[in-house]
Amino acid sequence: MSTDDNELMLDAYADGELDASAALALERRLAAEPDMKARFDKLTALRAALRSGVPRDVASDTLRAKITALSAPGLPARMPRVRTFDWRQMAASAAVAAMLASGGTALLLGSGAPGPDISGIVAEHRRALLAANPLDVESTDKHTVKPWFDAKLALSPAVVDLTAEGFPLAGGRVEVVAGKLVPAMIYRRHNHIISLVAVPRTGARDDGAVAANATQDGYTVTSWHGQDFDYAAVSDVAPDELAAFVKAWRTSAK
Amino acid sequence: MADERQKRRFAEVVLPHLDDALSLARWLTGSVADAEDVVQEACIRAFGAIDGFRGGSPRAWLLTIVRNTAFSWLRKNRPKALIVTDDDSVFEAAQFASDPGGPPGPEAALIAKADAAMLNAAIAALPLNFREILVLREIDGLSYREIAEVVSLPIGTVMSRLSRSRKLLIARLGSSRDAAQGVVSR
Repeated sequence: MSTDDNELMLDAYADGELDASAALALERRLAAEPDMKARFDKLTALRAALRSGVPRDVASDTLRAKITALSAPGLPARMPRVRTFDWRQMAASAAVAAMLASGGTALLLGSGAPGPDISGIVAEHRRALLAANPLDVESTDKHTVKPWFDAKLALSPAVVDLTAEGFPLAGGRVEVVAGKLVPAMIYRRHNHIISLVAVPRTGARDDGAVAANATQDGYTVTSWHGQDFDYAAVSDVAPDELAAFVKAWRTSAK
Repeated sequence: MADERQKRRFAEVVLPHLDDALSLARWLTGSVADAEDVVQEACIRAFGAIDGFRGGSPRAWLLTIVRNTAFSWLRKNRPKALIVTDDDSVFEAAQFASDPGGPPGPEAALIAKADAAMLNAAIAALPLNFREILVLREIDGLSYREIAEVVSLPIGTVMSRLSRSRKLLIARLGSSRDAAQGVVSR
């Protein structure tokens, strides 16, 4: 048996991978050959040191919550996006909200709220936060985001810049709401993000310009009818902040 | 509903092994933050591929995906870390020329006394394709057969890489001077 094979046998013995007869043969050699015994002692010392001296990694609660959320009921599966910049910090606060809220799915809908599928929009928002990057196009420039939607979806919702109002544009992404691809504009508010989904209206034009509020899983959703789109803004920011966003957006979009 | 079944299966197969997934990713990428990114992406992949899991070891199945994801991540973000030695014999000649190998001495005692910093430095200094096998065996506790499955290599290659990784660690830790150098060079 070559030296190399001896080493492999020793390792396999230490790892409990030898069958009984091979183990017996090796034990006899260990008793008879001091060199081999010395090598084996070093091997067992190393294994003991690795076992007791290397701290085991434990997944953080945040990571565990994010992964658990993948299997939470009510979330559509979605492919990961390619990350283009570090979104972790921004997503963290919302991800924690998603974690805390993932238990309940009760839908407390404002009276007579018309329009888009609230739970679908919230699910998409959460899903995007869980992905490495919630943006398909990253730009603070509305002249980049709007044409991107146009090219991607042949839809051109109003994209407005609200930096002055404290809601800088972060970019856009494509969402799936009720089986249709729709544009979503992404704005930032401090460390939170706000998704503004624009669902093209197919039915009769509705002049009910009143915004309706709903909350689900800790997210606030405000929806309203615009010129050609039904809009829904979703975020975990405080409801009054979301209201300020919606007001600023609707004013600018006019 | 197929979608809910998929989620249940994911919860059964993947969630129990998150710590192992994280440790493999950390030893491959070198940092917890990067490892969390890798694990997250790997889990999204695992979720999409859960129907492809047909029994066997759930842990090995998940760790295969984590490993592949980590390598893609390294290719993109740390291309230099991927300079691996495919030629095992060259690696051995370069690394083990000084391994005394034989006589009994104080080495076993020194190794037993190695602290966490020394051990970490010594493992981190292993070439990537040796480190992964050592970690899968010693940290994650996989059997040879499972390791062979995760890294898609024959068991013989797994065994020889594991054995050489250990020899290198023993050589480093078996003399306190080498171990101290390992800490500094990290």
